[in-house]
Amino acid sequence: METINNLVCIICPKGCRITIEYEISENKSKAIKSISGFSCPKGKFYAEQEILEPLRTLTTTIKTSYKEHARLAVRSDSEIPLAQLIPVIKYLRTIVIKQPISAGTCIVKNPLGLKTNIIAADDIL
Amino acid sequence: MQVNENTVNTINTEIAVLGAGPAGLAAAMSAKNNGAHVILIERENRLGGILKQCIHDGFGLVRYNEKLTGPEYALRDIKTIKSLNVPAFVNTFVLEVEKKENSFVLYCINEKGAYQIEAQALILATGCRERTDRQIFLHGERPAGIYTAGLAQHFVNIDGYLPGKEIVIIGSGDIGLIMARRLTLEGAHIVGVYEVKPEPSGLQRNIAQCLNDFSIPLHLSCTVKTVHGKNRIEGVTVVNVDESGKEIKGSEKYITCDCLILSVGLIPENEIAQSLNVSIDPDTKGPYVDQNMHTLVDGIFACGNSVHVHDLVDYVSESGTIAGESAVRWIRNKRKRNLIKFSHDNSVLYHIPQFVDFKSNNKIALYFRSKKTYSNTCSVNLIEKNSKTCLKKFKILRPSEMEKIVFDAQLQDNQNLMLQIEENYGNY
Repeated sequence: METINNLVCIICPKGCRITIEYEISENKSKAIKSISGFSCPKGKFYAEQEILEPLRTLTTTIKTSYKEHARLAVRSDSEIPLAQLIPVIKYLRTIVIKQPISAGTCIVKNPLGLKTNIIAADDIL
Repeated sequence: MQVNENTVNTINTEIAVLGAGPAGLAAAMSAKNNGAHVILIERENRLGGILKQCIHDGFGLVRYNEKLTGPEYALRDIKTIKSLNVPAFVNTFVLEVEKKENSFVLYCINEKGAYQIEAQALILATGCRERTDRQIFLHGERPAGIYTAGLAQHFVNIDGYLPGKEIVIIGSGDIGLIMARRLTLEGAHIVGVYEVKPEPSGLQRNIAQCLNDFSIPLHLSCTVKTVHGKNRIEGVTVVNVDESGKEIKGSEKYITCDCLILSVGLIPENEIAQSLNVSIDPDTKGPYVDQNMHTLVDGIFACGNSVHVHDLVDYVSESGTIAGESAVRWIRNKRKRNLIKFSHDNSVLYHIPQFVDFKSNNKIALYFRSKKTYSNTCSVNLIEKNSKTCLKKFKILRPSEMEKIVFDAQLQDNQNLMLQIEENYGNY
């Protein structure tokens, strides 16, 4: 049995410390045995997911052709695997925004084949 | 508005809001919604304040129950301000504010000309500034490559420049932690985060998601002693410190870097407040306020990080909303306040409000930070003349995490109040 103590939940500023016990089977898959210390369902889900595959929202900026607004803040519209953050950001460096755009507009659909979209998080008017 | 380039343009308004960050936007919105004529003045070219460069998410959890990025959070307020037709002066600098008998005159300037704005009430939403290398004990040279975390954030997120490739971060404030992650994502290598105190000063969740996610080392009780390099920074000497904060001789280590980022705290920005003789609390470094965010000078209100440095923008907006509606109430009746002192003992680092207007609303939103970490259950008490009331119990209290309690003050007479944290050793 593997145990992780004091996993800090990042869902909200409260930062609950969660304890998880899990077993690793022969085919390397993980089976969660117990979770404690969370104080909401989101926290429990976070802890489970953190053991299986950590997910994060990607936030970064994309180059624009506007002098007064040189970078556009963007985000992924869903969480992506932590390990994919840097590869996606590298890919986004190849893009330049040349037209006005409003927050929420999709800029890249399924970057690197991921089940997420990169959307504008700010307006360029 | 017709602007004459050669003369001073005179404008009359009921309320002038200084600063269009989250506090100022909320204050202007609530003043307008309460029926006042309000003007918003902003030094930068866009509304939104520091949120424009805070591109990470996690904003708005309290206010919207959603995880927004900084620009998205700001945009919601900016759209409301625009739909309410609140006049917003951007790229406009306030040179001086003069207090008249029943009003305030603001002397402002922007590229279109000079303005003389007369307002009955003033809301200060001027935010805070970062502490710099001049405010910490840092020996050695001052070459290029030393930046505050917020400045580095501006370089990366607004301008698109990377401030360095081999970076040391001094201080574990939230902006420093956020920047450690941001710079890593942009291809820089963070050598380490060095915190002089035995515990980090940023939120636990930021230690987890900014440092641990990317295996960035955090060195506690360790700080940067000396900066090396002539034109560009070449390295720093770090040193361990003991419990009393004294350097441990012989523990010095040289670290190569091309950039040093400082995340060593924020201080409320109150140049204008001080010029108007608004009394400043030495604990918060912001103006003393009552429960209506009214400073000790009648007609001057303050909100957001200019009052005290918040962890969460949601509470910054909240204080702006209170300031806005209170300012409108005040200009409508100009009732004389009956202020009683609300103090704290040495278990509390600071708290807001430091005064209570005895005749005003009794619902008091209390914000406070404990002086030290309380890891046993403790109760936060309100002490009046002869009585002690437990306002709330906490399992844990940390100076780095601001807590809020809303309570009804049953003020019987003109009696001073005091706040106290009491540890209950395993009684619960």
